[in-house]
Amino acid sequence: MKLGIKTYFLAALAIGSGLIVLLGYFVDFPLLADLRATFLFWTVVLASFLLLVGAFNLLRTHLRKLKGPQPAGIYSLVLLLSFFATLIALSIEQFGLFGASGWSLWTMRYIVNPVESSLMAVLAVVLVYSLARLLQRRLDTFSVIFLATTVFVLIGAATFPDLEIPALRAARDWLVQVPAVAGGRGILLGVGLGAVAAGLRVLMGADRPYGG
Amino acid sequence: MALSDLLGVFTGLLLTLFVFSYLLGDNALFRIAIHIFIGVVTAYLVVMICVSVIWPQVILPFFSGDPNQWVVIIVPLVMGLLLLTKAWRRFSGLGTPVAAFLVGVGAAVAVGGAVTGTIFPQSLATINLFDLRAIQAANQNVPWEVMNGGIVLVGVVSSLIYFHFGVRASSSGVVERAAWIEAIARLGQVFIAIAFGVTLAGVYSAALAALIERWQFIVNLIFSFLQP
Repeated sequence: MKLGIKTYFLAALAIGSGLIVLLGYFVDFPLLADLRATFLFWTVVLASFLLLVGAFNLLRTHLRKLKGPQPAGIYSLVLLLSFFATLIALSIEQFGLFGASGWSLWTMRYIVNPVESSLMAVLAVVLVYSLARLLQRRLDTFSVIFLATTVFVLIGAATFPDLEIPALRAARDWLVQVPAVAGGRGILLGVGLGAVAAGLRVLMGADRPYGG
Repeated sequence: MALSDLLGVFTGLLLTLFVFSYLLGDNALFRIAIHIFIGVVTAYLVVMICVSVIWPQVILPFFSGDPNQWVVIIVPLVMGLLLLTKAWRRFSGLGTPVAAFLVGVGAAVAVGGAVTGTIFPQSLATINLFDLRAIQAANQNVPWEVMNGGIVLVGVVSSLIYFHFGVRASSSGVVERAAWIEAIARLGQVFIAIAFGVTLAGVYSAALAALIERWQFIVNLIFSFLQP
């Protein structure tokens, strides 16, 4: 495959900026540390702009849906109205216009928190349903171990009046602190090694997810 | 109770009931609640980004800071504006070099973070389980702790081997993992199943706590209106 000059330029930009930041982690050199801090500051600012692009795309998609077949358009209208109402209210509050205050707290307390905790609450029922389906559809050794561990840990954590079994609690603690830690640590190390491999592929120019 | 709080409590109650209606199946009320939530959270995020990052870190220093700092500020400002062109397909090419910069820095942060934040600390934590002096200093049962350390070590290694997907074609032409890797991977799968089981128990406890809190909120609200 023939690579154009644009590809080389983009790869050089990604590799150069990445190597400066990576070296800043491991090499104690003031100029590198300064450059790394500056690049990370720019990245934070650029990540903010990326979020703005994401929000803009979301709005554009729902504006497009508004013109499409109903009732999907009604949901998009609800989203757009709630977006602009919140945007106007919070902007007025944050920039101290008209002496407005407490609107962001109101939004958090009466819209965001109730929906978040209700979704979490619904999860309690949905999880039981999903676990029952798992037992129905895929009853093998590992799903039995998975479910038995969940039930055992939940029972071990519960407090029953006049029924305290120290051995049960000790067994639960051992399960959480030894085999579960081993499995969790294996997964974490696997994720870490995967991240290193993926990152190094980008820094070597083998992967170019930015295009070009 | 102030009128805004009363209005807020009823908004919260309605949204809670709308979300709970999902238990009867996916329906319009649930979708309305979710779309309101997405709209509000997106607007919240946009305002917070502008107020906490873009306004104080980029715009304000540009007008009130000393000109020497302009270079540090003007570069991300220009790059940010170029990045905004990604929203339009016709001009999206202008933002590609900025995306390349972000990917490079992101990859470096991922590698550095994984090495210093995960691989070294987790490996050291596994090695330290066999630190006999530390076990004795903590007045713990040495054989028991060493045995537990051994189980953790076997679990970590076998879980890692479970994620090894290197295969080789056998003489019969079947492509599969070596038999010894497959055997260790099965042991690793047991440890992973236990780890996920414990994680699920934690998530379920949190979900149950949220269900109780929401239920209590609804009951308390109804009783507060029923009582004179």
